[in-house]
Amino acid sequence: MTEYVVEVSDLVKVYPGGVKGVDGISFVVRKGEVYGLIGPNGAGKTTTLRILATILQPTSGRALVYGYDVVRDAPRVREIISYLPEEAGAYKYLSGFEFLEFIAEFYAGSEEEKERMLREGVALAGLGKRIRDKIKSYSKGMLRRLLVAKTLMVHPKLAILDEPTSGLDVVNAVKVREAIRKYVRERGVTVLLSSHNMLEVEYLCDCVAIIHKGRIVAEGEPRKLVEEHGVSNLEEVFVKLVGGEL
Amino acid sequence: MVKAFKNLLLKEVKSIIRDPKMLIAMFVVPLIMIAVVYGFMGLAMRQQAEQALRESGVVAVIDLDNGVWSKKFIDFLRDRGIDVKMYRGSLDNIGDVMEDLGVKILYIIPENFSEALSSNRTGCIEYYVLFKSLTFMELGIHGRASNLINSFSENITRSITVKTGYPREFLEKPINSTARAVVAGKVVGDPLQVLSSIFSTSLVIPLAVFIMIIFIIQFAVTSMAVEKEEKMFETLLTLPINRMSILGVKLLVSVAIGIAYVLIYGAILIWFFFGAMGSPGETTSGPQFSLTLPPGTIEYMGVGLIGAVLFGLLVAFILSLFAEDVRTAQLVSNYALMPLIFLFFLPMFIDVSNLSYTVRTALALVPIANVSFIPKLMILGNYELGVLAGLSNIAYALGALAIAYKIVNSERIFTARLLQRIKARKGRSK
Repeated sequence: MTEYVVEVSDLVKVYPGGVKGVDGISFVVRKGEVYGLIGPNGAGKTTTLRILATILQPTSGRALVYGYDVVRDAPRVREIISYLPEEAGAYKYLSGFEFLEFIAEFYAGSEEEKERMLREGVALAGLGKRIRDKIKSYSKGMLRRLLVAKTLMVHPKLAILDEPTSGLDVVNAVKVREAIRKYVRERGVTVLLSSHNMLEVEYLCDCVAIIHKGRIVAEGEPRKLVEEHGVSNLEEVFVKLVGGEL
Repeated sequence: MVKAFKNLLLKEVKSIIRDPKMLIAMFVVPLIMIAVVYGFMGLAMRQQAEQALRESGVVAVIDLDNGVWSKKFIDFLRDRGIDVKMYRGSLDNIGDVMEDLGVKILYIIPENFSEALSSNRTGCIEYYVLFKSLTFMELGIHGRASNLINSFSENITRSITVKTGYPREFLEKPINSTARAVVAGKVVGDPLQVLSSIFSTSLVIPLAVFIMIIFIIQFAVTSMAVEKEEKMFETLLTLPINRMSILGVKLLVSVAIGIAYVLIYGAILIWFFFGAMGSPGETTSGPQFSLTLPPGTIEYMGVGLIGAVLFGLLVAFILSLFAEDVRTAQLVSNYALMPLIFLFFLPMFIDVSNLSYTVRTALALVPIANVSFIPKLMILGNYELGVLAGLSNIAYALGALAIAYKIVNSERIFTARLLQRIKARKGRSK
């Protein structure tokens, strides 16, 4: 069995029309690690996550999840991952609980397991009695919390979170961050997330890769990166590395 | 797999029942509209029929005969509760006379009417019907005027039958006829029945199915577009489920709703024709396919229709991948369906017998629309082309399934956005 949950090597994605999504990136994610891809909009974060989530296929290079090739073994990969897209929604005419039930049904092997997933999902979402309300009545923050809950409650071997706090106000962003942090520490879930919020990544991640124009320009533990570049936080590391080119 | 399929199915049903957009636009409104339109038409026709009966309750008679049989006719009318207004004035303007008398029916019994009947010759009664409103009601008045003469005529036949002892059937119709249609060198049955069989099988039945196909396609496209509009499509693609199951559930739900729609539509139609317009007993019996169509016609039409439904659905699914929202999805499917609608009505205007074998073969290969050609081709002796037409739709469906499978299992399911590309291209050209 491979020691890495994710192994990406020389990954290239060229979209129709010649636009390069990612341009030869390589990185690994270890078991139980929270790994963050950081970079500005259009850097290639979402493309990388979509390839790992088996939605897009790489032009060249290789991406493995638990040793399974994301192209060749896509159905197997889908069984062990759980993905939260940046612009995700939910069926607005279902209640929050029905939505969690809908998702749990795909992953649970038994009724007991489904019940356990639902209990954890409801707790993770933190919506109280509103979990029984129709999703169309939810605020953006409530919806995002529900979506983070649906992604994590199924105990994936790899959770892929694309901008988990995107578009949220400070209070909701903090709640989502706390929920992720608490859950992954308790359950030992491996997480690969993307964000352009450097402070969020510094707070959540064990290891980060700074992506710029489809390439990784720096990688390592957030604290070490900060020390190596003699600055006070990741934001300053990023500005120092690519600031002049933005 | 079955569990995941059931889960998706349950979600679809819940969404349809709860989503007013799906429920109202795709189901409730069309049904209410159909019910209201047919209900209104039925009510209007019933009222007009009643009015026709009322207005034909007063007739004018000009008795130029003044004989025993003309008196009998007038008594016959009165016995039926009809108010008979005798007119003896000038007939320069029949319209004005009828207007003045306030009647819609005017009978003129000519001189020698009684003499003709008494000497066993056919008598003649002339009648005029005043058409003013030019509505369905006036058709009823004409029917009543004619029926009264026919009933009187039957009475005379009955009394002659009693007097002479001749069978009534003989007196009414001494010569009978048997008609046979000859198509493609073969005697195939009663001409009227042949034509009505062809009309039914090549137009009415496929038309009902075609309405269903259009509805199903619209529904399937909308249902897939809703996934994108609700931003669930990306999540759905990463769930541990065979992607073809997603397609399968969408198609299954669309077909089920399509069938329900056609059944309800059919029930309303039957209610309208047999309930609002008259009882089923008053209608003529339908065509007997087995007597007039070559064996296998209905079977191959069935195969062709199943293939057509599947092909239409799969095309709809492929089209839905090119749309990002419900509006665009419906627009795209409408554009795709328009040529098919045109082709579908071709058999009404095309004389297949005058076409070369190559053209007939080409028509047999036109997807979906070819179903309408099957009975004509079969009757004309091109049995193999009828079979080809039926089976070709299955082949098209399998081809579309292969394309759908390829798309579903590649990134194209996510990246195919035709309209966006067109817009982008237009943007670049500006």
